[in-house]
Amino acid sequence: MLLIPCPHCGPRDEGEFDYGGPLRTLPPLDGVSDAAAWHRALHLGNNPRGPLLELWYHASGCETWITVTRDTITHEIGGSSLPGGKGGPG
Amino acid sequence: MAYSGLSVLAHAALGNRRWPAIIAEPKPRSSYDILIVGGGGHGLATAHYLAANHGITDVAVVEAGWIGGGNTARNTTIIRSDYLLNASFELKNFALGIWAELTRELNFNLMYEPRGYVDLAHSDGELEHFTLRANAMRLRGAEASILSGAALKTRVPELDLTGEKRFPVVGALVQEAGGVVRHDAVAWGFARRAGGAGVHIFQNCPATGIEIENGRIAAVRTPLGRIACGQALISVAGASSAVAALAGIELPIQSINVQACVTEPVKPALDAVVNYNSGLSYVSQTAKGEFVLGGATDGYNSYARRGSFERIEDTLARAVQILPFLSRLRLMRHWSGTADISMDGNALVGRTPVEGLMINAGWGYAGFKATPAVGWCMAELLATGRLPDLLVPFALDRFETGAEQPDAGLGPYPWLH
Repeated sequence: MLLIPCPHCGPRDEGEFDYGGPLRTLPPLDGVSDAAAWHRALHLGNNPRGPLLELWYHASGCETWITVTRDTITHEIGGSSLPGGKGGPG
Repeated sequence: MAYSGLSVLAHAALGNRRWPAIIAEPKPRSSYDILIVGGGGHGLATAHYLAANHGITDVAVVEAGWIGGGNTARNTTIIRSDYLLNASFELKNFALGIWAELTRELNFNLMYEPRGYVDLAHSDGELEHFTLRANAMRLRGAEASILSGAALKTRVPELDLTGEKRFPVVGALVQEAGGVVRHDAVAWGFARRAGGAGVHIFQNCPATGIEIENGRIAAVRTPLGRIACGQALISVAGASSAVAALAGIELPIQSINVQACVTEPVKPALDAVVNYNSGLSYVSQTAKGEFVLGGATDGYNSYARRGSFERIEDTLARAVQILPFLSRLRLMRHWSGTADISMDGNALVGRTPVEGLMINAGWGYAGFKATPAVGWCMAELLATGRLPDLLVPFALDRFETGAEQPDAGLGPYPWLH
């Protein structure tokens, strides 16, 4: 069971959250017609063994997307913040 | 030596002290024609069919753990082919045909039991869709039937069909050719047969590096040293991203935890594999009497091989909706495996950008049933250089060309599959 520290609400059970996957930043794709570039942007995310920066949506709470650093091997959570970098009590 | 009634008697007379080991411990050579990274069911099946169908035995299999310790032995042993998409159906239905003969072919008891797969629908709309799928299966030559009401009650008497549950059972797609196969016996059976034919199998031997020369596979580095090879296959469910990265290949895969558990053994009570579809919970009873239960993934990236209690609770809550008597059983064991799930939820099987290097990955938690078919087809690709028709749709480059194979139609979100 994950105890996810929400910057707004404090530590909450994972059941309150929806998963949004690893945090990825889309490169500018306007006018890009190269299939490989689209493939890289849309399908190739990071899938690391170890710390991962990821998105969670606090659906049964503050209804906010938050970013969480979690180790994919130990499930240890390093911290959380609001997208854009603003940290919270977590 | 072949297993038979006679061999049992002969060894009994010798006090059962001289049974040969199932898997030999060969001395590694510095070079093989074909090197298979990953000694799970798929990799070992490939090794077996290279020897059996193509006479190629200059083959080595390197396994990071032990034979029968990875995802091959962590699934819920279910086999079936009730898929709508042609690609998924054809490969798994081909496998279903092989499963039926495999115990005899391998001379190893796989405890193959085609006791029927019952996929439950919980609304009229869902049953309509199941009917579409059943008809598609029939058109492609498989057997499938749609049961509801008294017919379903007769087929699976233990089902709660009172209609009083949150998601009542309104009918089911039944594939009688589906069922269960003892999963670790599959790994041992393929390993024993391939090893007997001359394939070298090395356990506790992870790939630590992949050498590429002029765009072509040259060697795989292992704790046993550098092993040169003409061709190689990466077939390492749960570690696909990491091993493919050794060859500089990035895969459209995310790794997610899947859990399963078994109850205490009781007398035979359920003669079918039953799948609850509002959410996911699949139940079958082993020959030993235990109920095996599995559910959906934990839903977030993980290599931990242990998951959240929430998912177990969810799986069990759904199971007792359809089979209320399960609530009185205690859980005996629980385990997890890492599922590599691709961006369309379907497998990646075939060539890679590196010449001579093949990939078999992204089976998520649906790969066991395809084991012999993948081995058969991958052996053909490695032996002849021709890509079998059954594998064409599973190409690694399909995301670039737009030819995705989305069975569930959930979009490029692996954690939803």
